[in-house]
Amino acid sequence: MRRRALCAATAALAALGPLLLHAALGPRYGGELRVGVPDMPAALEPGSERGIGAGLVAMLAHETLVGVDEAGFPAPALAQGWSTAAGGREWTLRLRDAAFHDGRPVSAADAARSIRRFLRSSSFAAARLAEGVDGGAAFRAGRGEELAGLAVPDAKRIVLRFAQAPGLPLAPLAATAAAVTGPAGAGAGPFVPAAPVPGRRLALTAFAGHVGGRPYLDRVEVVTLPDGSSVPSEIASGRIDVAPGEPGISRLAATLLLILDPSRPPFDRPAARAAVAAAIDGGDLVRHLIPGGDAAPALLVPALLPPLGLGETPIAGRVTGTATLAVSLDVPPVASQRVVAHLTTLGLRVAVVPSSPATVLAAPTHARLLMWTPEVPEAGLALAELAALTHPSPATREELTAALDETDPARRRARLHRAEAALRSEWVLVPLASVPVSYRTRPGVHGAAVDLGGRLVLEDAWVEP
Amino acid sequence: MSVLHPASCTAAAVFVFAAAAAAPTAAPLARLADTLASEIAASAHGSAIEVATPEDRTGSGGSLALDLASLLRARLEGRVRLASSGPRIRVDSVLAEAPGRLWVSARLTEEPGGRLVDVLAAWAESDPMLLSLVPAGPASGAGPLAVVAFRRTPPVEGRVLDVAPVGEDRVLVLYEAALALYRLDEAGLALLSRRELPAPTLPVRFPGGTIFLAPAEGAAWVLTSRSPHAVLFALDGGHLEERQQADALFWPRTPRGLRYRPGTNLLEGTVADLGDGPFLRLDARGAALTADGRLWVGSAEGPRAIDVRAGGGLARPAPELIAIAGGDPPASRDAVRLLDARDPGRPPLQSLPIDGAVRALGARGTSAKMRLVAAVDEERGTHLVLIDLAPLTP
Repeated sequence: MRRRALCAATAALAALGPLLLHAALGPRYGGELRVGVPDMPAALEPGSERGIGAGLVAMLAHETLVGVDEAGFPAPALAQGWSTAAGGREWTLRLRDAAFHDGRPVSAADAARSIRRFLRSSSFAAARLAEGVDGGAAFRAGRGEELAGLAVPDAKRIVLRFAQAPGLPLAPLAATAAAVTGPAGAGAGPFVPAAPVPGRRLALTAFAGHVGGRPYLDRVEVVTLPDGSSVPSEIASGRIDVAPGEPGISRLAATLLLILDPSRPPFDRPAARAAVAAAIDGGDLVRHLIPGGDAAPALLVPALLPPLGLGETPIAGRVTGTATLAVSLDVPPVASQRVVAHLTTLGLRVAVVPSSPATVLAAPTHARLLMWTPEVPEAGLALAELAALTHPSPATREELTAALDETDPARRRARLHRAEAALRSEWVLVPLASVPVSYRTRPGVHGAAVDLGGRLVLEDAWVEP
Repeated sequence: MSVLHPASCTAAAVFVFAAAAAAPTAAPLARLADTLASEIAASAHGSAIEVATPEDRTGSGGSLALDLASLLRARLEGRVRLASSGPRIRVDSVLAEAPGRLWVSARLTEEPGGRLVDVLAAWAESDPMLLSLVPAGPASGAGPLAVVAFRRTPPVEGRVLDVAPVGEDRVLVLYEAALALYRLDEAGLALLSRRELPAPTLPVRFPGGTIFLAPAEGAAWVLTSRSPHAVLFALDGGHLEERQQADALFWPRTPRGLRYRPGTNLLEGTVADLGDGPFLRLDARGAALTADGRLWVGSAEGPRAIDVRAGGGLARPAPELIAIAGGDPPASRDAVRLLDARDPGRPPLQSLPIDGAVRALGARGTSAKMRLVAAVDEERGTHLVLIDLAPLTP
């Protein structure tokens, strides 16, 4: 009843919200978009790479069994629904009638083969799923081909069995790396890839058999941009229609994150890390350098986990020594310069190492500054992904495990708040701001969106005639 | 009933499910007033009560909120002391609607001072057999026609693809998976009959649907882009009766009929004087909206493109009038534009502003009396809007 009441309240409050804009003219079928991206994936296999271009191409060409809705719960995609048994340890997914781009029907065997491929991928979500599925860890480690926790009872159903009843066990399947592909590698996404020019250009055409219905656009062309500064002129000239930048569609979807290496001096001392956290004024960054940002010191953007103000306040101090700082190229230069200035004021000598967004996490530096977005926009998985970047204390790990295993949504949310605060209070992950991810669009483009993972979604995009 | 206690304040939120408690025959607004009055009385603890007029978010232009305030005061009389000055509890509320139900959320504050005492919310199920009609009165716009009545329903369940007034008092509504026939009476649109369309329903992101009403209005062909077959329904004494299925939709002067381009809302077929399409909408008297939202009119020489941009609706309220939905980019308001059928390229004779986006238009009438029915999408769902028109000068 309490949950019912909450739903009722949500509906009532939603009714009081501002009116949405409706298209008198559209949506309209037809037309095409040219999208500029800074990087293109070398391959079309799902989840093979990270980056803006790879994320976009994966969203266009591939489809997953489940998605994640705006509330962070798994939502139907190729799976039309699911049921549980054995006290929440067994999950049966029923597939919709769907087809791959090559015309073959999507079967449970395809879904199972794709899950096996996913479990052995480098995806964090795959690692998380492998931890829970019966036999998943051994399978992921390559210690055998047996995977007891995955069964195909018939052509339209697959069954996942877990060692214990987990909370939101299907969420990892929303990772693009978990997309379902056919025996020959065909995807089932809203657009069919064609005519790639590796590293430079990829054309995709509308897939009439998409599970959500044919997309509005006839064609999408993804092209590599020489550099971000050319976006305004490229859009003004009509050579591209959408590209990273402002103004346009925007969503608070990334965290500007400073990661300190606790295994290397001077950040091996918790006090030094706390001093760094205390020294950098996130509010100042947002006010002056990150328009539309949110300065609340939280690891996740508010839509994933609203900041509650839990956790310790860092104590100011002085830190001396030399530190190398890897800075991802997608961090606005003015923001990284301000961070370096704060670190210098602390007493550190900082050497900046520019890094690509794809490699910054692996940079062998004392600290890394990057725009972080989760692989799957679900608060629990996102926190676990962040925790995997550090070596959290046993107490923090315990908090996080308790949150991830919690099946009651309200209790899970409360535990996630505590886990987030515990993770942050180790001062290894220092969130500086929640940052909008923006795409500049030419006038007349509608329906394009940015999801909570910071990815451009063009499935419902349409253009004015 | 459930009570929530936010940690940050002492207020409680009480959520009441009126439908379970109230008599099912009472009007939803009356049931809503019953329930809310009981909860207010329970929260008052002997204090005087002031009922402010609710903020109306139903799109009724405030009439429903005024009715609710009156009903509420009537039900509180004798149970609490009503006052508008001195120490009292003030009830500020918002009335809203969602498909199938009416909502009210109310804030109770202590006056003077403004301390929050309680938060109440209640809802009442609508009668599933009746789409009530309330006046919804945007300005009629300057022009030769007077708006005799402008009424709208609450949000309907599901997406509406096409609408068609039938006779003096009936309306056909084509939903994604069903056809429904309503009778218009004083209370609203009463459901007479509803028939499901042939399965399987195909996934279409923004489906299209078309009703072709036979000239004698005794039968209607319907086709949607989600359904594999067109269906002929007889409108027999208030009942819909399926008579025939076909691969294509019957359409005048279209030998092979019309089909939807798979997965879209675009009609294809060779229509005499109009060509092969694709068409967004067609009018049986020889006008069409093209896929890019342009108006075409048929002629012996072939289709003539008119420099008019339109949205998703096309209808004929009278032989000499063409009604189209506005063709502007996304906005929270739309319009029905009335064009002179003899020269549709001229500026509209009249423009009727509408809150939301017009998705479908149907019309019938003569030069003396016209009725427009529109399916209008807005945030809370799809409403049906009925507009009765008559010439300002006979």
